Amino acid sequence: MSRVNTVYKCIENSAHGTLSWQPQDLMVGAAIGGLVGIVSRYMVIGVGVFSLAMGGILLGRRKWNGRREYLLLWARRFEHKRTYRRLDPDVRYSPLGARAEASIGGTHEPR
Amino acid sequence: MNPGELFSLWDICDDAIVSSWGVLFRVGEIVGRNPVVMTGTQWEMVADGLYAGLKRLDDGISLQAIYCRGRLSDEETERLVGARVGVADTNDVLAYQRSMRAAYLCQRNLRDWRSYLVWGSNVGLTASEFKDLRGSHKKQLMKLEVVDRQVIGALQRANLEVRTLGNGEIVTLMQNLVAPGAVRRRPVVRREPMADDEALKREPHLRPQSVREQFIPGNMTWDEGAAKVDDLYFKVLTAQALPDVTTVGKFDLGDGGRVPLSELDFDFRITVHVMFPEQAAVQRSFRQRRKFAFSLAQRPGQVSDAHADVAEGEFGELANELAQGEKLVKIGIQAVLWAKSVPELEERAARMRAAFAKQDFDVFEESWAHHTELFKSLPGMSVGGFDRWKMTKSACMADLLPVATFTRGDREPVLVLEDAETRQPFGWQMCSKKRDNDNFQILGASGAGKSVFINMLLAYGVLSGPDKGKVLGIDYAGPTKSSFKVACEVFGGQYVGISGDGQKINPWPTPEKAISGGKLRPEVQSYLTVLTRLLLHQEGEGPEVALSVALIQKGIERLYERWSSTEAPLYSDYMHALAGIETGDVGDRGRLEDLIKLTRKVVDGPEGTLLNCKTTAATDGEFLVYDLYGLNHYEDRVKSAVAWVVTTVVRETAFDNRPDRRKYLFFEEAANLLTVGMKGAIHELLTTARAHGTSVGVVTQEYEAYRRSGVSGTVNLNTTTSVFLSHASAPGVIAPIAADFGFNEAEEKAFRELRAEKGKYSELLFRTTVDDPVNTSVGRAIVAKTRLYLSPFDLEVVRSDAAGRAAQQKIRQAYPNAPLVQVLNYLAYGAPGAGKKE
Repeated sequence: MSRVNTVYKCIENSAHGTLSWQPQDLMVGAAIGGLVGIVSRYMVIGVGVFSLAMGGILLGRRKWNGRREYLLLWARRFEHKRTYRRLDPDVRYSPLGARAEASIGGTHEPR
Repeated sequence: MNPGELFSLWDICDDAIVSSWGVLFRVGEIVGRNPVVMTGTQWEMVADGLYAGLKRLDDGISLQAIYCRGRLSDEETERLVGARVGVADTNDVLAYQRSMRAAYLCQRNLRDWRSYLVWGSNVGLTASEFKDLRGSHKKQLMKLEVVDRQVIGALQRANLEVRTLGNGEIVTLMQNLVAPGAVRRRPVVRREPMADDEALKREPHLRPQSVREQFIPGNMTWDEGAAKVDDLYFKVLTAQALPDVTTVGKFDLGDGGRVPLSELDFDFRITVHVMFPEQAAVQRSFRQRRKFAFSLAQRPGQVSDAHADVAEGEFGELANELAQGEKLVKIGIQAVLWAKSVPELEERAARMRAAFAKQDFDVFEESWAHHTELFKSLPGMSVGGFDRWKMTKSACMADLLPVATFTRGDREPVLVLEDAETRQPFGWQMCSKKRDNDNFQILGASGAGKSVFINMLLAYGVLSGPDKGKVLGIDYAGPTKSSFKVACEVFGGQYVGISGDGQKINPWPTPEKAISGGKLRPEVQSYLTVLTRLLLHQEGEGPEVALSVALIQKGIERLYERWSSTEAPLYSDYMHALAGIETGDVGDRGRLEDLIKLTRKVVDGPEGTLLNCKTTAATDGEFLVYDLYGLNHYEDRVKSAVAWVVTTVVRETAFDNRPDRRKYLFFEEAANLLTVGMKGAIHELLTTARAHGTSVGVVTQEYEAYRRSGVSGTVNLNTTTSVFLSHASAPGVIAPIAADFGFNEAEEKAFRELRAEKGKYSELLFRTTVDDPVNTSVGRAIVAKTRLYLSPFDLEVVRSDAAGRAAQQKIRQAYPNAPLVQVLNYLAYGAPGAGKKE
């Protein structure tokens, strides 16, 4: 058999680079920090908890392979009716506001 | 919400997939190298070509390798076999047998392995570009053409072929991936709105469907463990960690064992996502990490940290490789499997995890995310959505791409077998214009399954099907061993055992055949002269022999001149004709007397019982077999004479001046036939068969004798298909066969490992030319290791063991009026409501 290639484990999990904050990360962090700040009545503690929460969220995301939709997926488990219905309109079919029937030409006929 | 919202497909046009971000992807089916013929050195060359080609790809290119390993559909099985399941003609054994085989192969769970490569640039359209869709799309197409050239060029460096899919094929592929196993496919069309908003409110089902939602067969639900689309449950497994090392064809080639994941007999697919990030950025990040690792390993005053030391060492090695041109790439691996129930899906997932673990992959099941990940695994759908990336070097990524394809043989075969490794169908078409000729040879030791294979060829390729034709078999096995005996009984052929106390052929043709325009036809005279010289010991050269031959010829002419009957003369008549020749020369008189004495010896001797009789054997028919085993006790001269007579019948069949009509000649036990003097005939027929629409099949058991005869060279030169069966019972001939046929080490290994399990299967190594999977107008030379399985009905048809034959006879005697199909069907499957046979 041919050459054996080493998989370098030292970089295996570095595909995401340094994970950047997402809006939902900030929202979750701020909610936790704010709650702790209000309860403790010391905003300094709230800011500290916010920092810790952000670190925790980012570390968690890295551990979960950088999953970005964690909040959405987490929320979906609480949905009562977990169904996508074909009869519902496909409203987000056209990206960035392009019209649904916009065609870019071509044909579906076999070559 | 509509399930289409999970599926970021926009359109399929211009032979490309367009994602919701306006990213274009091309799809190609990979036609890899044939593992049966590839040696370790050749795989190294493939690997080196692939590594060198792929590391030259530009930043921003995305690749997706999709390994589809599903069940061959029943429709495709029926098409290959040429019969529908359950639509059997009970009056026709062959048609019924074909239908039963189709049903059997549908139950065999034959596999359908396809590997696709999807490529494109991961740059989509900006908001402003969306305003001028047509113009932007053209620009994207031009960018895609650049990627096409790079990717196809990289594959060509490794001698891998890729067949780019058109719109229709991409649509079909996408339908198969989203809704596997669906029987009815609706065409995907772009629909314009036909109703106004008010009408749509009243009748929401009238709204135009987007392209993507037309792929989704029904509603979707999800939970933690699975996503359900219409009536199928899907599960997605994702790679958490890559193996420690990779070699080329990680998912295609076993390390000397079975093909990876081939033990999984259910449907699944594996998607390997690849993204080429901007090298400047990732290598900058890499250097920074290396600095951290160095600092960590070199901390003063600390206890030695093995982990940090290893990491630092790895960084150093990788830095060297990057300096030599390796690239850092992001890869992700997903496996998608599906089932009709949750317990079945869970069981499959467990088996899948175990199979991945054998390949040193650590995979985890998605949780609450199967519905989103399912769509990301589809062609072109990972860009912008997939986030389970791992970083590795480009060579490791190349090892995860498909490089091997097991051949599936001809597109329209007459006989369907199974690939021994993958259980994919392998089809063989006996007559193909893509070959130089349609001659074939079959080599197998005793008990390897030659007879079964020949019977299957007779049933599916020769006596029925599109290449149906006239069959003439020459055997030297005797009625108890002959491969043809059972087939003749079942399919209505005539088995003619030539022997002194059996059936005979009068060598003398009737006057109608011998005389043309009042004169003896030269070819008849030549044939009778050769035969008579053989019988009367007048072989050799020289003036004496020439003078005797002149008298022999004169006798033949005289016999036909004075013959008034419409029946054929005999050698005793020839003797009288010789006696009637008047000659004044004393020498001739003496020679004539000698010839008369010798002819009397033939007529009165043991050869007279064979050659001085009226023809009792059939000489014409659609399926005729001559078995010469009855000549075993005769001297060689007589054997040669009878062989010469049979050869003439064979020639008449082969050269019937009807090249449009298929003829098949089988020379069974060729080594034995060669000893009775059929070498010349085999040679002549092999070299001229094609022009006459004839296929010649040479079957050999005794390879050493066959090799010594010297005809093997002619056979090799004039056959385009060689079928090798197991030689496990004759290991001594394996090396000579491998040498004579120029096997490389991989082919020899495959040949050496051929096995036959009595009553189960026999393995066959095919070396032939089949339809090219990429260019339909040409052929491709292949070697395939296949298995021949028999349906219960096939088994009854070819059954030659004493017990089986006795059971058949017993039923036939008990029900003499029952059609043969019913008898065989009862023995194979048992009567309806009566349970299985005893």
